[in-house]
Amino acid sequence: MNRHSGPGKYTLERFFAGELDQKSSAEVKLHLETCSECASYVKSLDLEKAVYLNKHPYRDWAAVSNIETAEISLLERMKSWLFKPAFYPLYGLALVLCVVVPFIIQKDDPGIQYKGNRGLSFVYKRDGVLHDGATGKLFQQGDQIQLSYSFPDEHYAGLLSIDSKGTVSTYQPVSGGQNLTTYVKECDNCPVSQSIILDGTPGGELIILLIARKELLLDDIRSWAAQVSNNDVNLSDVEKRVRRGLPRDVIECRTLLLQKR
Amino acid sequence: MKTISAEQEKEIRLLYERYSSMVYRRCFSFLKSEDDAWDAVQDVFMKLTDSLNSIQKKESIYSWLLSVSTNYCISKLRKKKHVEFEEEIHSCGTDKKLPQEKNMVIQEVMQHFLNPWDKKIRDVVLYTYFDGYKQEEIAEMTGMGESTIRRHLTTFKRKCSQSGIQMEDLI
Ligand SMILES: [Zn+2]
Repeated sequence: MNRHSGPGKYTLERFFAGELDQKSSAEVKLHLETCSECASYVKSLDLEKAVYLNKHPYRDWAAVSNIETAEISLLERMKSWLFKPAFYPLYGLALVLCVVVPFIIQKDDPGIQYKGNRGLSFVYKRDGVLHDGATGKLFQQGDQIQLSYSFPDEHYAGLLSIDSKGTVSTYQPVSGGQNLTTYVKECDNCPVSQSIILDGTPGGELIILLIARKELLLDDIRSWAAQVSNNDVNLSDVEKRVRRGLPRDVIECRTLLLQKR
Repeated sequence: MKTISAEQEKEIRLLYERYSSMVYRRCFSFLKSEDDAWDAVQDVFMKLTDSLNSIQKKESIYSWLLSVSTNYCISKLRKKKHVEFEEEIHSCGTDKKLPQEKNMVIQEVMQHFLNPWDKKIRDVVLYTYFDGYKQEEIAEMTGMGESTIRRHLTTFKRKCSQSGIQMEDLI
């Protein structure tokens, strides 16, 4: 299609999507009458669209993306009816069921198996298969965690983790070197240069990514981590202490708390 | 669960039905996997749902989708390459020389993509070699001049030959 003077692929695709203005669209239409190559390309787009939408219709996308449509008109109609004082005791009960009961359940059962800062996403590899880390799973020994993150300016990134026994692990760019951090110019959803392979220690693993304005010395960070960990088995509390007292020169920290089998 | 208004739902449905097959086709060409391409469509249209109000009216939705799907696929490929590399390091025992050399090449390619001014070059390169778009079309969709596009392509070719990177390393 690029060999002739007619529309290019991009123009044909925009024509197919109905994006072109009337004049350009008419020109393409005219061209399609005489050019079998372009006509067959547009036809192939049409065919592919039919096959694709049959396999992945809108409702499938909306379902996997958790999209829900608000019934605004229905809400409007029900509003006046719902806000009657006679229903207030019922709302009180609903509040107890929705807020207090899940709270009690959560106390007995960790429930959510992972949580993390939005600024730190991850994939993990188990038995050679790559999985999306955002599905909330229990992790196991041998799982390889690959983190990625975004940060708009140049910085130094350092990775460490603390497990439920208080063991601090650090992941250096050069093993045996003095620094924990790697220089990064800027990054838009790019992988952290080290990945983490989980060991068999049961309980949690708190993964910490430190974003600093200078290189961070390994020894400094290890002693800071030992201090915030304080051999506390409750890694949520450790996480709070991490956020409260960042080491010097650290601009930001991103954490991820994983639960292991 | 994300709740959208009935009006927004109508608009998203229309856009999904109009563009999703083309986004899928392109992501499949990048990722070579039906499941990954379907994941990509999910992500790209979720971003579209979130950004619908901020996309300028005169902007082409299709060019916006191309740009977002490029970012998604490159990032996915980067992650894949990284994990594959890590796997090799852990499985090769004491002989770590070869993976380190491979790492250097990957780092170089990734570094190439991390420079902010290189993002424009990357888009021009992909639209030219990967999508097969004409320079005048790329100019229209990116707002760059055709001479700038030609310059970007020349820079890219020079950088590639200097660092010995093959096109297959990038796409
Ligand atoms: Zn033609």
